[in-house]
Amino acid sequence: MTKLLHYEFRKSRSALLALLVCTAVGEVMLLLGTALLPQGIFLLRGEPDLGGMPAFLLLVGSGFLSLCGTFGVMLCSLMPVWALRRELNSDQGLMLFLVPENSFAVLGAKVLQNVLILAGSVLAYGLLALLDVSLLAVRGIGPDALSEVIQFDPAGSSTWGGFLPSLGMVALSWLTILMICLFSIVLQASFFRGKRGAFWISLLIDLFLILLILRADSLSSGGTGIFSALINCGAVVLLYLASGWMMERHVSL
Amino acid sequence: MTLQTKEAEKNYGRTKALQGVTFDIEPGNIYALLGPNGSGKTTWMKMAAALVRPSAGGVLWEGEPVCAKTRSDIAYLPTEDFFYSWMTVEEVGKYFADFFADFSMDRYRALCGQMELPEKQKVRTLSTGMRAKCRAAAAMSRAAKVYLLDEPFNGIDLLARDQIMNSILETSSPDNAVVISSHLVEEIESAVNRAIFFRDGRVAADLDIEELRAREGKSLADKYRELMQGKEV
Amino acid sequence: MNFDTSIPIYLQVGNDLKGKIASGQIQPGEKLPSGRELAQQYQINPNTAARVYQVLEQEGICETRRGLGTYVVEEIGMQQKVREEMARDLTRSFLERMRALGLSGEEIGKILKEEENR
Repeated sequence: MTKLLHYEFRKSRSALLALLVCTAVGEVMLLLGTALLPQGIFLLRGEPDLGGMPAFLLLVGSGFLSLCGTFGVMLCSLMPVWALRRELNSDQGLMLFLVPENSFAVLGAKVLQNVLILAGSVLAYGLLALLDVSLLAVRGIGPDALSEVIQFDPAGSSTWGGFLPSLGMVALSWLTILMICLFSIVLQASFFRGKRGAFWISLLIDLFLILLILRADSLSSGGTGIFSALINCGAVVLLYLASGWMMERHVSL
Repeated sequence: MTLQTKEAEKNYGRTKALQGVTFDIEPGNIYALLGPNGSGKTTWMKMAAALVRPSAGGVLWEGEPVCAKTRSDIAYLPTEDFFYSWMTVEEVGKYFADFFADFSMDRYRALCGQMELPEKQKVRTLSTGMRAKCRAAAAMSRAAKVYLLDEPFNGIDLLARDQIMNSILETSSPDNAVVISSHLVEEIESAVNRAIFFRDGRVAADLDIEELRAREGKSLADKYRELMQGKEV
Repeated sequence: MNFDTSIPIYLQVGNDLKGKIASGQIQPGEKLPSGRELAQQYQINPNTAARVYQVLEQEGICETRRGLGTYVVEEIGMQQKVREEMARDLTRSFLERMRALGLSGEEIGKILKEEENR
């Protein structure tokens, strides 16, 4: 499966590079803005003169970074899943399916890629955010100003121990959504191939599954904590196994 | 090691792509798989490559139903343009080498050289003819037990066809079988020794070609015309 | 070599080899290409190539020496034998076709002489 994983990453290479570049641009802007901002200036909402260029750089830079860390990562992780749709329904998939690896390995590589991207992003963006917040604090911009200006409130989970795990939970929930998408794509290609309304049926099934997981989540400890994480992990594993089974037994290319 | 097809059936909705198909592919032979478009040749090949699940019956390799693993022994070359367009000719070779233990990078390089395929060129910039040559080179660089070549000569010029045919003859041995599906009946006549005719999803004939010539004084092309013209099977 | 695909190819390749033996291109006792080499040379199926030698061996024209390969039989007068056999075959089919045109034996002989003297 390592070879499959290698090629899955290779396929996503340009998207990941683009993300890296955008992140770098955002970070540079933020750092420049931080560096150029006069020491100790207090940014007030509505104040017309907010320190000009440095503040602009700071705002745009951090905005960029949060976009990258959220939508950017989401898009990158969606790619292997979306690619599967193309691969299962057209000739493009032959290159992938001609190799002597079964469906579990093929899907496993895609899921693993996403796990790695998400885990990596949580660490990278999480640490980057903490680093940047610290830098801003050094320049005299405290958490209050931050929460006003860039809607970023590290105070809620301001300890290192709290911030990363909460990001992690978000990433895990996203992974569950991705797995539902994957399941849906394989479902469409297997049982509902060529049948009318396939798209709508699978959409309904997706919604059902999402609701199911939300319900299970809230039944546990109110959507946070270990139980929620376990439920999501369980969902991910179940969906992976179900998708693999379906693909192995019921898909014809 | 025989590739056995037993009463294989494949239905796509109401269309019967394969019906009661039974025949064996034995090592030491080069087979011509002949028949009109839509007669089931590609469906059968894909079934043997475990890309298509049978509706009934199936294909057995070494006594077991074919699966993803059997692709290590059975090399399927689709007629479609399936290489990743962002790969270079060389990277295609590396991909095959990564997944197939029987792939020889040296042979691939040699074949690409013979067919004038620049190694560093990206697939997306190759003409359709060159892509077809590249596909054939990749397939023939494997040391598989069965080769299923789906219309390998499509879009290829005469000289390259000769080169590919040559590599097929070189590769053929008492230990492997080659199945060539092609519309160029006359061109492959002297290279193949057995022929399997498909018509409307069924096997219309399965014969030894030299015997056909000796007994009926017919060429493969003659036999094709005889079997394919006329009422449905 | 261009083949008539309605006649067994092994016969055609066999005849080609016999022709070479008859004309002296291949000498008695000479080593013949291996089955695979023959297949490559004539661009034919390896099984067909094997059959060529099988038939030639049956006709006593070649023999397989264990571990060494296939050789033309080293027999005195073999070349003439093959030459005469082929000549007779050719003549037979020639006469058949000339007669099919409606020519008598005498007319055939006359045309032969004239063409020979050209």
